[in-house]
Amino acid sequence: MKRLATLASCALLSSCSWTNPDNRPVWNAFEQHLVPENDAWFAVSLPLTAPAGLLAVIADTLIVHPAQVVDDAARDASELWTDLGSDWDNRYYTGMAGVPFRAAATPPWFLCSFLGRSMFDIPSDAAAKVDEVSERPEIDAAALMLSWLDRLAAGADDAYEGPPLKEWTTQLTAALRRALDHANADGRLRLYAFAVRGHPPADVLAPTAGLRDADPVVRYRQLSALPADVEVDVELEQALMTDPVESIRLLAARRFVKPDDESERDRED
Amino acid sequence: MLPLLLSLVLFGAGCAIFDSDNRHTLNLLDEHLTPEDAAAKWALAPIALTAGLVAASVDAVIVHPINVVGDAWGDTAELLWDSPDESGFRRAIFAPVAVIATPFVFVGDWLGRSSFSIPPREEDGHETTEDDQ
Repeated sequence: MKRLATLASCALLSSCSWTNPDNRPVWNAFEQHLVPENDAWFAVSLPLTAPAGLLAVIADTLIVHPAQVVDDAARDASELWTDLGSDWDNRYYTGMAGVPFRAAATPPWFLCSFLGRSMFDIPSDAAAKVDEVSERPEIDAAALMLSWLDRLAAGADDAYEGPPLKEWTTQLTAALRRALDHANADGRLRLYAFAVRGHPPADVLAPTAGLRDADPVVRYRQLSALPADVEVDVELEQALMTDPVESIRLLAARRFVKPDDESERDRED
Repeated sequence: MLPLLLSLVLFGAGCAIFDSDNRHTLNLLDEHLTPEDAAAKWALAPIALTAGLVAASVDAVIVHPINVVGDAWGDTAELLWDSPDESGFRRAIFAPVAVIATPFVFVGDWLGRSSFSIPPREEDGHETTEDDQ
């Protein structure tokens, strides 16, 4: 009974690693090549495929997946020795004193890692390192941003739908300038809104850039949508207060003229 | 029970000597007796291994425990004798308790500082008194 319980717990734990399709190559191959797709044949062959499937599970759990993780466990164990090289150069005696402890710890460490990786779905070190090096999300974000800016430059007016960027590059600055030069009014509004949200650095595209746009409707919409905490420099304030378009002048007066100034002006009048 | 306690203390001592600031003897060996070229390093490896182990043990069992005596006394004095928040009267009333507690607090603190990597009082923002030295 006790042995059965132990075996059952092992099988249950092993299923943790088994939940990842990458860890069950025998089952995958069996399911792909030997299980009939036709419903009738599937039902007829079930008495044969069910026990064979069970054998595939056992083979994956006890032989194939453990064999797959031996190299990762070896890599884990070898990490105990990674800084020995620098110790050899810089802290010779300290490094040498550590050798017996590293040697004693290596087999149990390998065993723990091997058992853990056999039983649980722990990502392979190699895969983890590839993910780390490629920094896929950041590359994707930059590529998506570049493609969006190019679309705006070509006349599209869709919003940017990608992950936030960690770093703004000179390539993106060049694409942004192209987009500003060639985008239509809707596209430029998208860019200015993007600047207000603080995505490109302020020296590349200031949040108030839209207030200088050649199109008065763009200027008006930008001014009405500009958050109150965005500072507008005095020269730009004056330009908007004396804008050729009356609706912009009125809007600018509402935003920039403080009540005190107004009452003073009324008194002067 | 005794071997368990001893191994706990030894394991604990390991914690203190994982910090290079607590390995005075090993640091001295590394600094002054490391051979320059690789061939000499390989030739000396068996001796260096033994010397390194001895030095680490000396650090763990002798040098580091001696080194922390001052800090252990500083902690004890601060806790039981020099508490700035207590009035003179309360300190006088408390004196007999402090006398009884002093050896226990001192030994406990000293064992803790010998076994684990606890920053010295000076680094922890305490002023070093003459007693500490």
